[in-house]
Amino acid sequence: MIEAKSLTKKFDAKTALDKISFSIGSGSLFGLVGSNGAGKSTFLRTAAGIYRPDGGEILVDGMAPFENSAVKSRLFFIPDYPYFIPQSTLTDMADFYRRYYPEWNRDKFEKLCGIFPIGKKDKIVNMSKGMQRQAAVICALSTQPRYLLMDEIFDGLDPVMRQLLKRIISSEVAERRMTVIIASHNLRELEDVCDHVGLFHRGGILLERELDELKLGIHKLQAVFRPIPLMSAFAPLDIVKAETRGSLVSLVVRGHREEILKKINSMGPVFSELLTLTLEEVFISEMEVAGYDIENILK
Amino acid sequence: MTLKIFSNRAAKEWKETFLWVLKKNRGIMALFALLLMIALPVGLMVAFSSAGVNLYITEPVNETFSRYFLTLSIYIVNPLLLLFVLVLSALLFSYLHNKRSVDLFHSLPAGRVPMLLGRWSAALTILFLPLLLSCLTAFAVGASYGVDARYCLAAPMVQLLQSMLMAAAALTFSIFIAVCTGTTFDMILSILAINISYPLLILTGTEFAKLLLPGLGWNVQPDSVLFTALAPFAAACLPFPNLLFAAGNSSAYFGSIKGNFLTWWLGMTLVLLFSSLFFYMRRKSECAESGFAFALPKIVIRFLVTAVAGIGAGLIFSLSGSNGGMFFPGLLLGSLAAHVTVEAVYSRGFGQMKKSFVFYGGFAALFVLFYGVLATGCFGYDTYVPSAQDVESITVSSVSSPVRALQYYYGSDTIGDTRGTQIAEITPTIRETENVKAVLNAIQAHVDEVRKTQYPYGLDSSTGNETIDLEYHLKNGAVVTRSYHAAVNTADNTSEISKMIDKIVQLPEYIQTSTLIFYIEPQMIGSVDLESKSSGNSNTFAPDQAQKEELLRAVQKDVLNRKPGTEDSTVNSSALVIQIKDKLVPTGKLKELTGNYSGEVTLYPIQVELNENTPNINAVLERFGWRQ
Repeated sequence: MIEAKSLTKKFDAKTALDKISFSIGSGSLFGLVGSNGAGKSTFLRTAAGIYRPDGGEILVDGMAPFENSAVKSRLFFIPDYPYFIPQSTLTDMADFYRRYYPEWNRDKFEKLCGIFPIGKKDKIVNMSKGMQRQAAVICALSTQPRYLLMDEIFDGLDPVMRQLLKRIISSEVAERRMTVIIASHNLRELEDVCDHVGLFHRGGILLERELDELKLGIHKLQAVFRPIPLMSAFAPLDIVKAETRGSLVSLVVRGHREEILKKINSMGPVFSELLTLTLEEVFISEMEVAGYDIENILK
Repeated sequence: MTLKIFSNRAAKEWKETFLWVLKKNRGIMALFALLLMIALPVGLMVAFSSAGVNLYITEPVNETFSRYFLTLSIYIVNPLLLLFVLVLSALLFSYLHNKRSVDLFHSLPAGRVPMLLGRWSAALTILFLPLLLSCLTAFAVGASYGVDARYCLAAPMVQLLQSMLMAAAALTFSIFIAVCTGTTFDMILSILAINISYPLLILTGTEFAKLLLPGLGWNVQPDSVLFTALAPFAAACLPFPNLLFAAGNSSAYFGSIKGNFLTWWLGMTLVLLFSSLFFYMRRKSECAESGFAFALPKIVIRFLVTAVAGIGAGLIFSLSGSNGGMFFPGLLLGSLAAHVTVEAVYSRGFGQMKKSFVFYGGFAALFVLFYGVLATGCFGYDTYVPSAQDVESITVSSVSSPVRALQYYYGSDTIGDTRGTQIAEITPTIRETENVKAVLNAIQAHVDEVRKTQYPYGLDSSTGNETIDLEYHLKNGAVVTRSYHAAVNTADNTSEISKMIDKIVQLPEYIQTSTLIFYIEPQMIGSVDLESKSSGNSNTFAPDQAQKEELLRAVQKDVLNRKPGTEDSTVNSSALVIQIKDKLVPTGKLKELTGNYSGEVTLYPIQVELNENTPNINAVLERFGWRQ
């Protein structure tokens, strides 16, 4: 379990993380979303023990990761631009990591090298951005980490590799109860793979929720009425957002699917349907309710 | 139990880092080994081959080996070692200066202490293994030429250990700077800046102080601890001339090795290592690619460079005037230019320039304080003259007085062994109580006069033609040095400093301890030449024992009676040249002077101009019938 308690990190006068508090349970796939400069990468680096917090604390399995080899041996961090030893090959990197990570698994390394189309003897510096990320993932998973922290991991990967990566990560979580944190500003990538999400904004966490709870508890309702009833007629519904265009009423409504349908059908619509919101739409709705200009936050 | 687990883990992390760095840099190690092999064993083979048939004739082969080994070590191996120290420091510690590499290394399950120690020890291994290998090969090469290692191992081994110590010090210093800086460019720049500016600051600071503070008698020696105390690269290079000078002779070589110098650098290496660990533990990972991780080194470097440039420019400017008035414009221009340049280079622009002038103000305040302390006599330094009862002896290390025409010549003031290596120096020494009192009184009178007329002191940019350097050897074992100088018109023989020098150099004890003629005995004289300068003819005589005794007494009497300021007429004069026997074993006063040296020494001939100032010699030569 990773717990942030009033975690603060400053870079000179700029506060990158401002007293954030939340926790990430073991075995979860946690998506960190937010715009550029929101503090996602800083949070990951602090969790990986690279940065020392300037206030509060971050605990991994109850221990602070900074200068704690015992904790770090269970963690692996893939930054947005992974670094490799100059002039090294994947084999060299494997030799490097096996020295430090007690759970290094050579068989897994060989297996992953077979899955990802990468030459073990090729110099990593000559590889494309996407291949370098694949190399980083191979090394990371071969250390069999209990916590895998990844920053913008899908950048540069082609759609096939993205799906492959998501599948491998999901199976690792299922098999070993590995906890994964993925930071991204791309909500569509995260909603396929994550079970929890947290929204960062200007060093703070605006929202942290289970994805199913978030998505199943809110729906988009579209209904055609002739004539259109007064808005007060929709009062039994927990409306987040309402919009009327001609005879079409579009509502974002909280609540269970069946209950919403029952209530709306009792009003005698010509046509009605309940749609599932994308993660981005959910965030936009929730944040607007909270008073944030979410479109700007997620830009 | 927790401690044990931690220790085991840290030891494993150190071991893995050490082995990985060694493996990763085995190419560098091989290259270094190759270059050292060329420098030392191959260099020795070339030197031995060049010596050819003379190898076993001119000196014992063991000594030749030792001399060649030391020369190659000092001239080629040491600079090569320092170059690789710099290269390795940049290769192994530049990871601290790149955000991406910091992400990798600081997220590894390895503590910072074992990681730094692992890299440090691997770097030392990369440096020392090839060095030891090349030395062993060099000994094998020597053995093939008949060198017996039992008799020539000591000096090369000491040189090897000294090189290793200085390489370790330079490497640890570089690591300390790497930890404190944010980029590799700043790291290299800082290493160079400190190693150049610190010794220069000591040098320029001392010269400046000597212009301001009367009596300051401290001269910077290249192998003194203070001169290079914070600059290990300079410390590893600057004593080279001394070492090289002594390299031809093992005993002289050991004499040139200074214990306090080595002790200082052993201690400094440890201090730098612990400081590196301390600062690395506190270093923020996010400092990579930024300016300095810690402010202090930048402040120190900026101060050093500003002070060196300021005082240096001040001294150069002051040469254009006799009263030192031009020093201050030079100081201002030099220090400002240096401050602005350092700030612009380290801050990559002028954005922080305004703020940085706070530190320039700090430099200015420190300089004013330094100037004030010197101008007011440095807490009594200017007026200090020890009391006679505290003084064991006074030596006059140098004296120059054109007013008193003291540059007469009675043979070399150094004594060498048969190969020309210096083993002793003739230094005028005052020991008798009455003479000590007389010297101290003369100095006191001069000091009082200077204090009365020149206090508070101003810059005197003229180095002075009248100078005297003294050492008080106190009964408590302390040695206090003083140097007095003044620019005096040669027509003026009433100046206070000239009077002081007069009183000292006219003491019989001074003359008897300042000239080689008073250290030799009649039996040491080989032959006597009489040279006529007008005709260029020279006659050689072989005196018997009685003639030697009489001649020596006459020469000593004339030298003793000669007054300073009496000019030798060199036109149409003759010269007496006393040739000393070759390969002389010192006895009597000479033995005492050489510190009871038991080997053979070589003395230069003693030459005396013959004129009206040498009546006793003239009379003896007439009596012997040697003079035509």
